[in-house]
Amino acid sequence: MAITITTAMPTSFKVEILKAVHDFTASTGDTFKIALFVSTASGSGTFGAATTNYSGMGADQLPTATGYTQTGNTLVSATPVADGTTAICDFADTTWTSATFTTSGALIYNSTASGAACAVLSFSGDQQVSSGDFTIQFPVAAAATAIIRIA
Amino acid sequence: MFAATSSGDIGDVLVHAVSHRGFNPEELAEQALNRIIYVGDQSHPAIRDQAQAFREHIRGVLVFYMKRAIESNNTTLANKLRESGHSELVTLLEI
Repeated sequence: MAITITTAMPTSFKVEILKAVHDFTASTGDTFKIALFVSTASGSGTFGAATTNYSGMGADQLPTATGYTQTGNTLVSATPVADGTTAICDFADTTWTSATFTTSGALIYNSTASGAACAVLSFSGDQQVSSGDFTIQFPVAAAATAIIRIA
Repeated sequence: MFAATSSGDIGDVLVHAVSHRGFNPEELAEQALNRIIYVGDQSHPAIRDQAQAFREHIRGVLVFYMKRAIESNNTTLANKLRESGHSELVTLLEI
């Protein structure tokens, strides 16, 4: 059975925003992390809007080895702003160096808030790196493109 | 009765991977440009052309100074290697 990942804003995240669970303020806000899923064939779970927490990744997260450490990379957040009538947030690009792995997606979660899921990202197939650098580049922070947008 | 409608969306990330090496200045410049300049599909053709021209100009500047940064860092590393008695390793820093 293969892993199924759909890029989505978790429904639980929408509720948590209204409960003031997440603080994306740069430097003084919560700690956000990004963890990588295993390759399509290696996983078995389904991840998307129904994903609620980092703990749900379970064995579908890449194991700690060759350039990847479980729990993933810590993200550097930019304080959310408004672009027109859309609230947007942004992160600095993140890189795994000297890495060897194959991944099919990622989960952004709030480490401070017990692993609450913030965004599920599908890579539209497997992405492979071998003894090299692997970078996730976030989109331009604008109303039509930003990584997390509330219109 | 009043109702407020809102929607939340997740943007598309780009994945960059290179094997058996790190990113070179040209690849990093492209990544930087993706963050600096965004040209929407719906942009007016004249504005889009201008933005593309600016993008290419900035690309050249970024690549030039990234290469300079590498050379400069290699100079620093070469001196540290020589000072610690490993002059033979300096040749590894030559690009």
